[in-house]
Amino acid sequence: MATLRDIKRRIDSVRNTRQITSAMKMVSTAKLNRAQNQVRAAQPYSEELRSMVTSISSGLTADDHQLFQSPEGGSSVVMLFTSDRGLCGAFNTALCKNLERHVAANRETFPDLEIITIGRTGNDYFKKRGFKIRRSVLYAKPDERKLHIKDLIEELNGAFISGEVGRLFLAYNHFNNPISQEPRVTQLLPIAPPKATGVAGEEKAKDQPATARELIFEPSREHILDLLLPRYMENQCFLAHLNTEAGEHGARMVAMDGATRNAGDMIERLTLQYNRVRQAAITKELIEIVNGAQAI
Amino acid sequence: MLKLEIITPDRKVLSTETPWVTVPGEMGELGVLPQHLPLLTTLESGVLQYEQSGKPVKMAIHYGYASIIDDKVTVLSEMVEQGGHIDIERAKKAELKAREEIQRLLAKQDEENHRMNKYEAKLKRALIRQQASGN
Repeated sequence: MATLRDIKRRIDSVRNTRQITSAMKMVSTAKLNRAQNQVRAAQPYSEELRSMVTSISSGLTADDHQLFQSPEGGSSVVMLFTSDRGLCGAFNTALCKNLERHVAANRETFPDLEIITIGRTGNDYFKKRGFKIRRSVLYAKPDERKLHIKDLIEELNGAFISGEVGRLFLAYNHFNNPISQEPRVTQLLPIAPPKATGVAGEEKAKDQPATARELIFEPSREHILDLLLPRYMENQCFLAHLNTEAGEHGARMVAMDGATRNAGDMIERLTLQYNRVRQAAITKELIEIVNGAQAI
Repeated sequence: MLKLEIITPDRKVLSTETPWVTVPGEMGELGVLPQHLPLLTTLESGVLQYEQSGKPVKMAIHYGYASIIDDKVTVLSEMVEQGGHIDIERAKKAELKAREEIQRLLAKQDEENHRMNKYEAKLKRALIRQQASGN
């Protein structure tokens, strides 16, 4: 049976842990706030960019731009966004498992899979399982990450046009709200061919006030597409990055909140045990004293 | 009135109404008034101007895109600076530094060209000598 001192030590240790987890929770809450604002602030740009891409590419078919065409063969690349640090519940594991399952279920969509890991935890996960890591960005500061993403997109666009890479996917946790993130795998390349073709396209044209038909392009539609599409891809990655950041802090906040609460419960139980043991010891001593007095 | 929106990847810089706006289009400065035809253009690095309460306001734009659809001008750019917020001393210093650096590199290039010419001449002479030494 545990002695009084053992239990006391245990309680102190749990109390220390609780202090740490509750501090981590508060830090995460603050960081989450900032990250959430960033996600929100990035919304208008990406929406406008998307609507520009849609209006520019409406009426175009897959043959009109290199980045629309899906080439024969070529490897497939997944850019995986995870956090660098752990202690955030199932945030990273859920995404990695989801991706692994997705890849296993759609083998023909992912030939010669290569993974670009952004964030340490995803890198560890897939490295351990023997996947081919094309490149990894670990422990990068947010603004460095932006530059890395830019470089990566440029490199991948080159590889895509040369036919080395056939498909490019993004895997990240979509930030729904602080307590819920949703693993997502989306296709980035070839860029989904514009939908506005045939009957559906004409219907759409009526809804939208200005479509490619009436738009003037300066200097030319091709030129704008050439410049706009890489920006569009960068922006998608940037959004994935922001979502990951916000999701990480949200997940950590929830995990740390749970840990703090569990530590509290544990302290309560241990305190109860402590008091019980103490009471037992007192009773025992009393009995001994009474017995001793009677014996005399 | 035109609706003008200027947006960068991390925030909405400006959303306002203005009677006119000029943007630095890739094909040249582009003035926009209400009833403009729908247009999509790429932007150069340059100065954007619009009018606010009777006074022209300037902004620095470093590349981007502008769409003009139904009297709404949307400017997307990775880098936008409001004229009033620009530190002119810093900009001047940066100009000076860039010019110096360019001068330095040009001088270096000159020197290297010079050496290149010298060694090319040497190479030619050496080859001719070898040819001539045979017989």
